[in-house]
Amino acid sequence: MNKEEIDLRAGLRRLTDQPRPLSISVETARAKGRRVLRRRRVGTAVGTAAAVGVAALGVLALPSGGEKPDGSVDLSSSSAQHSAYIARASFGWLPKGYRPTSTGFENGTFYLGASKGDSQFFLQMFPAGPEPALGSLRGGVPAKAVPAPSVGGHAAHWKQPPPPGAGTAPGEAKLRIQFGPKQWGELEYDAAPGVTDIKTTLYKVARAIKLRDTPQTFPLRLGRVPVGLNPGNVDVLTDSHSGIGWQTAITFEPGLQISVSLTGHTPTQWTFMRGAPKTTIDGHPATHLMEPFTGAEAGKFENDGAHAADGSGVNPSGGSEQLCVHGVHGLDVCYSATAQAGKLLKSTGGLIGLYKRTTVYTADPSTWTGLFG
Amino acid sequence: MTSDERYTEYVTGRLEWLHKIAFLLCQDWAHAEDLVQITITRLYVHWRRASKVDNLDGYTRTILMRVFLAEQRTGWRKWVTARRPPPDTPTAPVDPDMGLDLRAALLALAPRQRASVVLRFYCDLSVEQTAEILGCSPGTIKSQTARALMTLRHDLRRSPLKERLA
Repeated sequence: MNKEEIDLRAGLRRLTDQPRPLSISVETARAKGRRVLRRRRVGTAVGTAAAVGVAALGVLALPSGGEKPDGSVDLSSSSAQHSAYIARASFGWLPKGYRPTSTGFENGTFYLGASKGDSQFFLQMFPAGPEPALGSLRGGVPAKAVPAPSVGGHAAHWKQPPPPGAGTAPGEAKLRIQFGPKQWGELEYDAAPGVTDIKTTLYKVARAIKLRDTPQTFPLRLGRVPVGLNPGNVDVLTDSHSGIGWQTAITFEPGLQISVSLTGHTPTQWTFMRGAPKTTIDGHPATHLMEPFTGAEAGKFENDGAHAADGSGVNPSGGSEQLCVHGVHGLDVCYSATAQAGKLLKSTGGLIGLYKRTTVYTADPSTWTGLFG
Repeated sequence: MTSDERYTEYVTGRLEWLHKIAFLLCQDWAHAEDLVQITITRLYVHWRRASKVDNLDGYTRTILMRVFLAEQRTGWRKWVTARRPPPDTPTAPVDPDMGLDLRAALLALAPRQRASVVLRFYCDLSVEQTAEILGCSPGTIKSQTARALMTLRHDLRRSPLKERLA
């Protein structure tokens, strides 16, 4: 696989790397499937394609589940919020030209990336526990633990040794390291074309990894967030000069998403907000949509899953809501809440209330702080 | 565990995976759900046989590919796609600008070329495995993939491929 193909592979993964809500019904598939089988048994000439085509018309939404009937909202900061987003490690040494460009939290795994052009080091610190499954390498080749020298006294093995070998690609290597009895990590090196000392460089970076819990810093501070909104996945990308980009994306369960980007570079997924009703918040231009939609905006936005605001400033029904505030210290801040998150935010002023409790810093990471408090 | 229970357990655990592959094929999340719905229905119909194969994931993926390609031929999607209400979720922050460029470039590929690209570079299958699924020779897959890469390169040439795909 050449470099262009490797890049394509990464690009395809990025297109699908965020989970989407599904409204596919397994029960409907079973029911329609049973019908097809019954018809076959009695010899009815029913084409499978037509039958399963009808099945698609009968899609049923899976229950969203878990909605709290609790109308009260407690704004007190929870310990869970304060303990979320602890950076577990940092790079102590990187080859010349490399710099940290991404960090984040995904399903309990902390990650840290450093890049130089198309080449990168990518460190994952898994949640405390046994070593995660090795999974598969390229071509579906099952990964096997290949013995490797220890790293600064920590046991280690290759998940993907430097090529050549089945399932590997030029310039790639992945090393699993046991940093503690229940603490595993993985360091990946995607080297620039022509680099041959992959193992040496990867080990030098691995030996210099600093294990230290420090609060992750963000370009904004949320103040207090209603109980019931729980910290989820986060990406903090700080490379505006390459495809990695500059954006902080924060997710709360159930269904609150926050994006911070450089003014004028709002990520594409928020471009639908350009046509939303315009307003001004604290002197900054803003756009705001919320349910229930009314007037001409209804038809305009109903297909985006977003609805026009009614101008009252507070979401009257606790429905879905989107807000973008532009040009705050050189940053654009966008919020999006599902109906479920909207209900939790409703009594504290919805997304506008959340924005007013938010402190937005600048693009300079030296000005950033923790997310809460 | 009954056969139905095994089917339900298996399918429930594969919905997201199938949805992602389907999305890459058709570049539309809602349409991808339709493809998956049909795929799992067909899988149910063939479950007695499917549950005995060595590579059930591969079997299911093959059904999905064939559903997608058959749809391209018959055009039934024009009438089968029901208009759904907006999902109860915000628009997920997924696509940076370059992601949209890649999506547009993928959409410009012929369906079989797109299927080849997805199987080779998303599912990480070999040329031979891809050929088996798409029912053609390895040589055909090689030439389709080469043409697809050439088209993608052309469509994304405004900047280096890596930057557009990252």
